Formats: sequence, C-alpha cells, structure tokens
Amino acid sequence: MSATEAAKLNQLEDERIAALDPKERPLQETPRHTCALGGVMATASAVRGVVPILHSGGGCGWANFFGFIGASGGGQIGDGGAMTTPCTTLLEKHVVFGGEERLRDQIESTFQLMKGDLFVTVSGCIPALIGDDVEGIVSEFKKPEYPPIISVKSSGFNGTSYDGYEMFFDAVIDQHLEPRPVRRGLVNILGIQPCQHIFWKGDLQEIKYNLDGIGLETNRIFGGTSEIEGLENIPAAELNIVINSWQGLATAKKLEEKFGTPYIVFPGTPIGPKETAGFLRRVAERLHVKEEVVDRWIETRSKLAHDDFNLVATFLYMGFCNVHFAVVADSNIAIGLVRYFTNECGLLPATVIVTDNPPEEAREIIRDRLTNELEGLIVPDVHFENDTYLIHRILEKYSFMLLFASSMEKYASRKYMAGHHTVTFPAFDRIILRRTYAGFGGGNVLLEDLFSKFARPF
Amino acid sequence: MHDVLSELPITDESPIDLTKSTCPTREQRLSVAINAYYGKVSDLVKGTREKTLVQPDRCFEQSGNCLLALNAQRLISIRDSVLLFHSPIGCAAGQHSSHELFQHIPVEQGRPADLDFFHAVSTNLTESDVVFGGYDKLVAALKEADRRYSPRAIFVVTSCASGIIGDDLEGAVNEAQPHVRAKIVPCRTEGFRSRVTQTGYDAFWHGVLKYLVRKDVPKQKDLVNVTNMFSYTWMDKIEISRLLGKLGLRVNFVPEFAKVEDLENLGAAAVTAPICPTFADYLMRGLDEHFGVPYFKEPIPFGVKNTDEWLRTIATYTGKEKEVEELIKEEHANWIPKVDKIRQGLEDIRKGLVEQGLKKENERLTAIGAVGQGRVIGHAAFLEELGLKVAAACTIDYDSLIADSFDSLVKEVGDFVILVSTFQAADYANLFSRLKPDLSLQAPFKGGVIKSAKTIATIHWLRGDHHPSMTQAGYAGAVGYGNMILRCFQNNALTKLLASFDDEPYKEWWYEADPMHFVKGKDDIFKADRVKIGDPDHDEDHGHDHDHGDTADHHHVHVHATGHSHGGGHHDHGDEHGHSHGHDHGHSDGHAHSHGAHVHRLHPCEDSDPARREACIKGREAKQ
Repeated sequence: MSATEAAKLNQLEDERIAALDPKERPLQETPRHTCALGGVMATASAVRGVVPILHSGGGCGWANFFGFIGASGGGQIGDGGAMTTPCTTLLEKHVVFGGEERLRDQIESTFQLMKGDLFVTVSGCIPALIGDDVEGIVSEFKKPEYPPIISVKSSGFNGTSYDGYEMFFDAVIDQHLEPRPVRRGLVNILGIQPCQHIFWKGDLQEIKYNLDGIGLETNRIFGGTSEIEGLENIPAAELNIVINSWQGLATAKKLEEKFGTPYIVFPGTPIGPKETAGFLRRVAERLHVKEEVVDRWIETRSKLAHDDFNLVATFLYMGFCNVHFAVVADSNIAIGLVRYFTNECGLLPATVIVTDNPPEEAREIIRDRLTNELEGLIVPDVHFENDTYLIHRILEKYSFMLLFASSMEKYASRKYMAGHHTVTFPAFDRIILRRTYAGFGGGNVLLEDLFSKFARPF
Repeated sequence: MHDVLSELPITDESPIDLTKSTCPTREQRLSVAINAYYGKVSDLVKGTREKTLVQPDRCFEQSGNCLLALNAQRLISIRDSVLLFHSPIGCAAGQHSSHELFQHIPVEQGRPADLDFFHAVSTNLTESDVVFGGYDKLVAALKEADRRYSPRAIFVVTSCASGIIGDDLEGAVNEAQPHVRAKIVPCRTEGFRSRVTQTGYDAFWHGVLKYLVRKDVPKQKDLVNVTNMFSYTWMDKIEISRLLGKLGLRVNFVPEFAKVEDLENLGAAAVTAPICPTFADYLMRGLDEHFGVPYFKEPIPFGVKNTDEWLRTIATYTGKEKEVEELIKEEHANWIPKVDKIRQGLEDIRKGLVEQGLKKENERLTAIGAVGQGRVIGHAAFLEELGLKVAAACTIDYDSLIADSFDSLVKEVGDFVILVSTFQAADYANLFSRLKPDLSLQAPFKGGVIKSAKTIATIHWLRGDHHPSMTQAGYAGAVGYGNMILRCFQNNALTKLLASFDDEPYKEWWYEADPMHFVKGKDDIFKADRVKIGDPDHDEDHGHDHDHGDTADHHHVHVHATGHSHGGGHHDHGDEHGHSHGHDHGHSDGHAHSHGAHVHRLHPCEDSDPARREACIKGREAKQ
C-alpha cells in the first residue's frame, strides 16, 4: 500500500469513528470532562458549607482533584474541597461483602469531625456495581440530631461531569429544598458549572452585578460566602435564568415542576456590550423591569466599556487586522467568543469545534447562535467533537491566526502557527480566580489578556 | 532491646514470578504492609520484626489515592507510548495535562526538540459496557490506539469498574496483540486491590519485566538504571546525569523521562540505583532475578552524605571506585561551603529564637516531613545534616521492605514519631497541631494542613520545574533544597496569613485528639497513649531516644505558645476508650481556646500571656 493510500484509509477510519456517538467509540482521548462523580464533587464543594462524602475507591478524589478541580485554573475550591473530602476508600472486601457498613461508619465519623451545613454522599462506580443501598443508609441519618444529608448516585460510568451538575441539583431539589414564598425580582442563574466552566466564579459574579444593576436580585448559589442560604433560597426565585443551551435545563424544568418557577434560556456567555445588552433586555422584558432603568444601565456600562475598547482596539488593527480565528471550546464560551469577535471586533471565524457534546436537540440552537445574526460575510464551520485526536484532525483542515481553546492545544498551536489563548477546560496554563470575559467590559479583558501575549513589542 | 531484635530477619522476600498475570499485592507479598499507624519508628520496626503489626480499619477516611491514579502519574511521561485506561472517563481525568508535560522546558536545558505529546486514552466505560462487558471495547481500543498514534508500547491500566465486571485483561491483550505493532503491557491496577498504593507500581513493573525488558541486549558496563523520578524534577535529572556523567557513566531514567526503548534496555545495565527504594522494589528485584542486574536499596541521593554513599555504591558496581573518590572530593570543594552557609543560616535563626527566649539554649529547630516511606530515609538524614531535629515523619504507607532502613535511621538520627496514613489530611492537621514543629515539609495536595503548620516548605517541586533552586537530588539538590528550608524561616508571612483565616474544615476537638481516634480497635492495636507520643508538652517517654548531646529534645516550645496552656485535662479523652466511634463530642466545646489562634501564631509579642509578651519584647530589645 502506498503512503497516500494508507493516509486515505486512515482518514476514512477517522471519519468512521468521528461519526460514532462518543459512548460507542472504542476509546476517547482526554475528552475535556470527567465523570459524574467528579462533576458532583466539584459542584457540591463550590457551595460554601456543603461537604461531599465520596462513597468510592480511594483514588476518585485524587484523579478529579488533579484532572478536574486543578485543571480548571485553580487549586482547591472551598475548605472542604479536594483532598480533605471524606471518602470511604472501598477495598476488595467491600466489593465482596458490600460497602454499606463502611458508608455508615463514614457518615457518622464525618458528622463528628467535619464542619458543614449540608452533607452529600457522592457514590462512584463500586457501590453502583455491587448494589449498595446508599439511599437506605443515608435515610438512617435523616434525623433531627444529625446535620442534613442527601445522596447522589453518580457512578462514573453513568455520566459525565456535565451530568454531575444536574445530578447534584436533582438531589438537592428532591431531598433538601422546601418551598419558600416567591420574592419579586429574585432570580437564579443556572447552566454555569463550577470548574467545568473555568470562569464560573467571575461569570456568575458579573452576571449578578448586571442583573442587580437593573434592579433585580440575583441569588448567589456558588462561590459566595452565604453558606447554604443561597442554595436553600432557590425556590424563592421569580425566574430561573439558564445561561446555557442545554446544561441546567433539566434542573430548570424540575424547579418549574416542583415550585412553579418559570425559566428562560440564554445560550452562551454574553461577552461585550452588544450581547450583554441583549441578555439584559431579554430578562428585563420577562420580569417587567422598567425600560428606562435598563436603558440607563446599558448606556452607562456600554460607554465605560467603549472607552476602554478605544484603547485596546488599536491592536486589532495593528496586529490582528480581520484575521481568521478558530475556537475549540464548550458551547457556552464558544458562542460568546464567536459573537463578540465577529460582531464587535471584525474578526473572521474559520471554524468552531464545540467540545461539550451537547444533546441533539441543543445542537440546532448552538449552530444558530454560532452562524446567524453575525456581522461580516464569513460564517464558521461548526463541528461537535470532544476527542483530542479527532479535534486536531479537524483543525488541520483550516487556516487561522488565533486559536481559542483549552490549554491542551497550547503547544499544538505551534503546528498551526497560531497564537493560542486558553478559554475553556482544561486550563493548566493560567490561574483563574474571578477573571471573567462576561459582561460589558469582559471583551476588553479578553483582548487585554490576548494582546499582552501577542501584540507587543512594537 | 534493638540489637536483639535487629537480628530477627525479615524473611518475607518471595521470588518475582513472571509467569503470573500480575504481581501479588504488597499485603500478600510482605509480612507487613499497612497504611495506618501512629507511634515511634523504633516501635514500628519492633512490631515488624515481631510480626505483631496489623492493618486496622478506619471509620473516617479522606480522599486518598489508588493503585491506578498514582501509577498513571508516572506512566504518562513514557515517550512513544500510549497510556490506555480501561475505565470510565473519570479515572483518566488526572491526565488532562498530557499535552503540556515538559513542553515548556527549554531545549537548552535538555528537552528533546522533537518531544511529542503524551497520550492518555480511555475506553470510556459506560452503563451498557458494565452490563454487557468491556472486553470487545478493550480489544478495539488497543487496535485504535495503535492506529492513531503508532506507539512503541501501549500500557493498559485497569480500574475498579473493569475489575468488578470481570473483563479478561490478559485475554483481550492476547487477542489484540497480533493485530497491533505496539507491544501491549497490561497492568492490573484496580483501585480496590490494595490499601498500599505502591502495589500499583509493582503491577506496572510486573508488566514491564514480563513484556518489555529484553534478554538479547548486551550488557553495558557504563549504564546505570535510575528509578522513579516523579516527584523529583527536571533539574534532578540534570544533576544526576551530571554526576554520573563525570564518572563516565550513562543514566537510564525510568519510568519518568524514559522512552519505551529505555525500558526494554533495563536488563543491560550494570546496576539499578533507586531514588525511592520501595517504589522500585519490584523492578529491582525482578531485574536481579531474571536479568542478572544487581541493585541496592539505600541510600538515596538526598543530602550530601547520602549522595556520597549513593555514588560510592554505584561505583562499586561499575568499577569506578577510584574515580568516585576524586569526584566526591571535587564536588565537596564546590558544594560543602554552600551547605555550611545554609547550616549557619539556620543556626543563626535558631540563636535568634534563643535570644528571644523562644527556645532553650541547646534546643534545635524541629521539622516534620510528610513524604513517601522511601524518602523518609533521605529526608531525615539530610535534615540532621542541616542541624534540624526530626520531630516526626508522615508516610503514605509502610511495609517491611523499609524496616531495616528505618532501623539504621533510628540509630543514626534518633527516634522520631511516624504517622502512616495515605494522604489523610485530617491526620496531618492533627499531627502538625499537636507536635507544633518549627518546619513542616508538605505536599500541596494534602488539603487543610496549611492551617495547622507554622513554617511550611514543599516536598514536591513540580516535575517540569527547571530552575537550579528547584533541585532536590545530589549535591546541587542539597543546596537547592537546603536553601528553600532556610528561606522558609526567613519569612513566614504567607503561612501566618493563611492560618489566620477562620476556615478550618475540622471541629475544634480534633486538633488535640488521639490521632488514631477513628481507627477501629485502636486501643488493642496501639498500646501506647497516642496523644502523648511525640507531643513536646507531654512526651515523657525518653526510652527510645538516642543521645545526641541534645538535652532539649522534649522541650516546651515557647515559640508556639499563645497563652493557651496545655494540660488541665485537655488530653483526657476518657470517652475514647472501648469503642472507636459513635460517641458524643459535645465535650469538645468545653475547650477554652481558639484553635485558629493558638497553633499558628508566631509573633509572641502579640501574646495574651504577659510573661511571654515581656520575654519577647526584652529579647527584641536585647537584639537591638
């Protein structure tokens, strides 16, 4: 077989595998998420006062600390997070005889030792495979003399970290939340997941700042100092706002079912004045906020953002005049970036590879947001792929000067001769505290980060 | 007592059987392999010789580690190989950095310019796979990994899920092997297999010995295998290559920094030299038994004295006895003055504390190291070289492989406390809080410990770090690491600030509790009173201590004091006897102190105790 023929065969095989559902593929290379257990662990730890208790093998916490929590631009989240997380550390004897007694001991001792307002058992693969009655054990502890405790079935083979976010909320809604009187103007933000969305803390804070700015009150669930009050206040909201085309939607539907809270969906992180204004108008309209209040807020914030933009825009002409860019990111940040760069910066989107494996029904919305209502003549090719090997097979087909992706693409970007900037999980080459590209000035921050790397000296 | 006991041999060394599909666990292979202990090292060794140590169960555990996770951290960096997790996706998540490892190291510092990315792939077991079995998927994955990356070897590591559903690993490997060019190396690393995570390394080495190491490579007298560099750095690689290079020797680093070919050539070396003797034990034994490559277990090249001995030992296997003495002489001339300067710097700090009335005249600075069992040998001896006293060591696990080395160590540096505990953050918090060492050597992934330590140094540089001050091994490492220890004493503002945050995850009572409180049957297993062992305020047991002319081993360390007086029944956990958990801890609220304030504060002038405040102010005035 000639080299050309071999390459052709290889390409056909790549295409065959790319067409398979990730679950059906023989293997996956670093697909930019972890398992459900990791997702629940990180989500739970991001609420101050919530302590996850892993019912799993001893290494589940470690793998997710290094590869999930540590890979999202930071280290440990919360005092009870990461390596302090209680864990039953199941052994062969538990596999054979069951891990229920071990879990009972662990819950009891955790209550004695650890501070916490709400404890969450997070079960991994082993209890699911051996059939431990985790719910039964946990129900033994749902008594007034104990702190509140809930259980989540989150075996690693049963879902991804994206699913873990909703599994956590499912458990909280079903097992912990009580109805509260609806507070006018109170809103919850759903769809931005701690760690999986690397800018989660800053994004949530910036969105709250803007919603509060137009006279609403945003309930802070993650990353605050309000202990679990924010979590318990979820049913008091007048509206749930899902900032994601698919993630958090099931949670919003469940909240509507159980507490009658309506919801709206806004797919993609709003970056820059245009998108942020659109987002705020959409919410304001739904909640009957006075138009002049919204207008005034948008006007003052946009003015400030444009003032900074004037300074940073210089480099858009000098270094990156209408260049092509590629995005490899989760749908939320991908939509935000493409709309900002295309609609406000005049850049040309070559291709977008969406990495969060959204369900079929969400793909149309994502495709729409990535290709419609865009300035300019160029519409990006949209791909859905999360396998690192196959991602590069796609990228090789395009030419671009900037690559917005995870840090996994940092060194590979040399091959494409493109400037690289980390905007999505995993993010090993940057530290992210409350950094955010969301909101009126978020785009400026993004350009600031980008041009600090590439636009100087001159 | 020791001398009689040390004649009791540890006779549990069984041969390495490569006809088996995997290694035995450390628990099966050795007379002692445990991950829960608190007591004196001397008692630990005694218990090992008498075969009286038992592995207890814990009621409370925290996220620790497993055979798979730890092992994967090492295997990922083998060049031209693929690491295949036969697992759900989460087990592989730890390798999200695979395309970045070592990439940032300048080519000028030895990174091969063509260093390719490391590939971590997973069979991504899902619900239907665990129902219908993952065998076919594994066979397909092996073929696909071979097609995609054309590696020289594929390391397959197994998970809890694949183990429980009973996938036939050997069968899948045998079925796939004829169809792939890469050599497939199966490693049985189900997390639940063993409490001793080092079993995972054994499983990997078993695969390497069985499938990779070649018998047909001619012996190379100048080749030295150096094992397990993970928690050492790129700079250590450079330092060790430099030293052995000066002897005219070449180094075969495995598994970190290695190519598959280097693993194949392990059998050609003149000797296998460990960085950590117990991590590489299985390999070293296997190479000796099956490929005729001798090995030694200690010392390890940490600190000046141990580096001397490490080099001398290698020299005896490579016929470099004469050259090594010249090398050592030459190196000493360069490095010893620098180490002396560090020792003097630490001595000045100690004297400063004495002048301030914070330490007694002959009282040494104390340190606790949280390290692997193998590294205790190196660390303890090196701290001693620097003039520090080892108050305690925390190891991830303990087995009889290291017992003789611990025995010698006790004779060399004196007895100290040992806590065996696999990444148990609460155990460390308790230990640091009760023993109040002047210096804590810690790993960053032991959450919460920072809250109860005073002066903190790291034990792990990241493996990609490439500044000379981040060297740990060899002579450059003695200076690099020694300087870091000195720097820690030069400014502890960070530790103080972090400690002042009121956000400890544990309740108050824990910080003075029995460290084995949550161990089942602890009073039958541990006869001694754990709260008193090692506690500078309480330890009255001088029996095991060796004479160092240091009369202040069991000092009252005023530098830690804060106006909270120990005693007064604080350690009277009378309720702890008889049953190990389930009792009420309401009594803990009665402790009249705030932990956050009493353990960490270093600045005694702020002390609420007038006498101490005055002593401090006087000391400061005298200094001026």
